[in-house]
Amino acid sequence: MHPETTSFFRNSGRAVGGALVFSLPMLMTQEMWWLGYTIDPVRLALFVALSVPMLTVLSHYIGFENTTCWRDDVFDALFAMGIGILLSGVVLIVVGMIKPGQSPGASIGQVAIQIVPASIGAVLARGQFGMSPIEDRRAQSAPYLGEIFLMAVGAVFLGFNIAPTDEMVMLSARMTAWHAIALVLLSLAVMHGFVFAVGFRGGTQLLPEEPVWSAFARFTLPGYVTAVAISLYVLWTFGRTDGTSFSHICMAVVVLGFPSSLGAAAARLII
Amino acid sequence: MAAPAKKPASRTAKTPKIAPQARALEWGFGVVSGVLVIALLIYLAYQGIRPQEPPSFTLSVHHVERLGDGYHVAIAVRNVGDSTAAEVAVRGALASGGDPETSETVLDFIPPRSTRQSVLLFAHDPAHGTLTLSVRGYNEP
Repeated sequence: MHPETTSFFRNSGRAVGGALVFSLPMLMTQEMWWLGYTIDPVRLALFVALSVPMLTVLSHYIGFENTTCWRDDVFDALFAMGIGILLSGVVLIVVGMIKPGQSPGASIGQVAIQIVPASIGAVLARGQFGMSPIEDRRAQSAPYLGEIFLMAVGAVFLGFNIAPTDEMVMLSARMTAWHAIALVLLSLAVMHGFVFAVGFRGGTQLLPEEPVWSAFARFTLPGYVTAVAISLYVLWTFGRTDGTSFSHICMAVVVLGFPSSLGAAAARLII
Repeated sequence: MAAPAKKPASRTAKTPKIAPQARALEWGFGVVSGVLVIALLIYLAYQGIRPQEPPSFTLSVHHVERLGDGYHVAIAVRNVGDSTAAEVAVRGALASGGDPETSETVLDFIPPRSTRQSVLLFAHDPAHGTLTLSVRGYNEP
């Protein structure tokens, strides 16, 4: 076989593997299947459309191939989404969730909702499982806004995992405002721990002699606000904010903000 | 242990990797984020000290639609209390001449000051009778 063809297949295999690892938990979550029926198609379409620029920039920072121009990154993003669609479709058909006689709209929704986690997995896999040594990755030298962006992707990924579950609703119903305050403080503390764990790795903009509050203000606080904003957007996409009071949306956002901020902080470690 | 923090005052000056405007951007993000987080905490604390009313409900008919051989009555249930109600059982009684026709539904969760919708089915047209909606009970989540 032509060496270029071999490398293409190897790359695709890697992408499929990553997409599977990242999306299987969600492909096997029942709330995700029912969302295929109930989600507002316009919000779902917006979410999928926004994931194109998100994956493009993500691929720019961590993509396996040393992409030099944006056209390659866009191609990478679309390729990852293609893998995501194909994989979600195959898995949902094989497990019997999509079958003849079901409304095509719901099946499309069920697949579309899985595109984002699967394609994040596909892009990451090409970076993570690839042969490129860690030092070569561009994430190391990501500028400040790039770091915030990577945090946002981490928040999308982990927030997306948890937002559709009923446990989210249950927790925000049972918690009092004082619990929520404690959870905000806990999220900030955990995030700051991560900021420190990664902060002094080569290439990031934190210097060892910086005082704690400086790192806290420049990375932890914006990271947490990013995670909370992403949580709100994901909740809105899933229709969890409809007909709901401001105070309860705040509760839900704080609850989802915990895993999202963890995802945001960990993204800097993983990516 | 504090020594390394003091010493490299000159080294920091020697590593101007970050342009001043980039610094300003980072601090700008930091300050705005700090204000937002403090505002969130103050709002939550205000919610915490406010007296909490138990759940109570207002019911309204959203619209009525004739589908198949029945009437679908879409209802909106609003929780006007300050805590969430779970498994809210709603009953509709339609009186039109003879025995009233009843229909029931259960709503999973209604967060405080929030509205959730449900549908009751009737065989007779609610336009030709009196429809009474009531909440029969709920659980604490």
